[in-house]
Amino acid sequence: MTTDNRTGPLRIRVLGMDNRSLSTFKMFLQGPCQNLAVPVSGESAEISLVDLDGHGASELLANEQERFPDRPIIVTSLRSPGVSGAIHVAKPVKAAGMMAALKEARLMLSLKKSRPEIRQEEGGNLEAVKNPDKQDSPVVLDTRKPRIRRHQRRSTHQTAMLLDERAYSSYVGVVADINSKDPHQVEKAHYDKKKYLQAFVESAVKVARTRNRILQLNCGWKPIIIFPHSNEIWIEADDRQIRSFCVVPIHSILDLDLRGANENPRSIISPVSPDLVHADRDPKKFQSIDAFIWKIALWTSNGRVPDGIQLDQPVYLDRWPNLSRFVIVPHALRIAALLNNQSMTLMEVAETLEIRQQYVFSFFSAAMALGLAGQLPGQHQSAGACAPRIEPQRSGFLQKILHRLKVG
Amino acid sequence: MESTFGQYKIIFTGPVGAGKTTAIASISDLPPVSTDAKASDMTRNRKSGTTVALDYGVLTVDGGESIHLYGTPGQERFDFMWDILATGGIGLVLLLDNTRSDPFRDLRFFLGAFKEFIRKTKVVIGVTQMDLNYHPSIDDYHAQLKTVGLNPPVFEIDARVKNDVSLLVQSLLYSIDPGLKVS
Repeated sequence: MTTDNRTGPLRIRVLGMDNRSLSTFKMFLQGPCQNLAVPVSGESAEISLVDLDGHGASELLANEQERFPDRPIIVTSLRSPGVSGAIHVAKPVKAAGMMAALKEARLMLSLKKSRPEIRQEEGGNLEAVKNPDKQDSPVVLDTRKPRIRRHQRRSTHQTAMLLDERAYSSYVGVVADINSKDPHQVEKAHYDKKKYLQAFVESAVKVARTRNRILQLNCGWKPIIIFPHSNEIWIEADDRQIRSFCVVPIHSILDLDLRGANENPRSIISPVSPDLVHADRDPKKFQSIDAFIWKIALWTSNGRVPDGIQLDQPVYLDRWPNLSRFVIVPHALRIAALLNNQSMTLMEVAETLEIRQQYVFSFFSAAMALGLAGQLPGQHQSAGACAPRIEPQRSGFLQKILHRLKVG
Repeated sequence: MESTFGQYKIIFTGPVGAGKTTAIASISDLPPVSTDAKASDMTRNRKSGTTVALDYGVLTVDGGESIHLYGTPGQERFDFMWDILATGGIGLVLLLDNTRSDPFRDLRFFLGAFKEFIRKTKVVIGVTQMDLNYHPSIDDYHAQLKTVGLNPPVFEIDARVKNDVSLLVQSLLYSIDPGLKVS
């Protein structure tokens, strides 16, 4: 693999463009893109670019990935292509977007150089596929289209942490149910998320995704690095430490401006320096962005809901959270099933399912942090909320299956 | 509701290589009965063996009753089997392989094939191999599902992990009745 420790333009192989487009693209790279890359042909290229809207582009991309599995690939297209391991630049291509993609490609080259184990992991899986004894394993590679394995980190894809009521109590604590008619109790059931890590992480992720670039969140504690392309974050801390920091009000510690001074070293959000990207990272500290936001919202909520949520107004759940990869609060599946079926107030959810309010409040706060849930506007008319029920005999049998699945 | 096989059953479906056989094995009490055979067509690119008739597993619950787990053959040319298997099922577990060339096509195909069954029961979706291919994301699947008026649970799963498969099946049961309680 070619070295990347240099400041010259990246050598880029461009596929899927006719000669006229290629000439224009060359000028685009030289001018607006500040000569960050120069088109070359064949083996000498360090990275590749495929215009996915061109004729036969999918085949070109597949061939390129097969020939150069270690090579970063930028793809341009009008629509999100859903190509794994490739950096996407949406059309119409703008200089800022292309420059960000080229920098990202350079970082990927550096990472690959500093982490040769990625190739070893690929080799290991290919061996597994060749072994007929493992033919039932779902780890089956599509050998027609080798991929750059950015997602080998098991920490990002580990199964859900299930908390039953007892585990949840020792993990988060017990919060007494409130009387929604008592303003003092209602106030205590709310929290201002802007004071906590949760809000800073949510904002930083939004910025990283919007700008489509790796960013670092500096919130007066350990830096959190956000990788929007792979939907991962990295933080040098374990869950116990993160949980402790979640409940510390940090707004008063920091003089922050989320609107973002890009290059300001004191800014809460900053681009990641190559040194930081090259740093030896513990792969176990990578986490899925969604699972991380869900988790810190649960811990920050601590059985409460964000300010502004009316307990006597209906809420909705837009879609089921990806619960197989999240920390699961007691009754989360029931809450999701009920709210997915109909809107109701949080108090009604707790009453209908006959569960503690804190489970409902925690679930809702986490779902809201991911943009999956929210409050419906307007006055609530009691709909006589109730869970859809099935005939008792069948229900009894389904409960037995559930018990069997939970007990194991 | 009793199935034509005299007991309750859950149907696992999805394309070749999505992990149906493995998922059933993950939660079945008994080693699943499988009818894998050497693949001889396009499936060979993805699996050296594939299910040509059905997979079968079983979960025994308190009182000695059983819930039967049936996996449909992944190859589309066996789709005549699907109706027979699905008859009397309490719900559908659709597994999709995120490394296939067009998982949304698979999604639409299987939702279409089991349209009537889904209308009468419930469906949940497990997406496998997301550690190899992150795109389409779970959000992308939900967006696709909205276009056909469905809003089921969609979980990333590893079919080898019992907890993942168990959660998916639990979500199916709660979708049928959120009021279910386990003492």
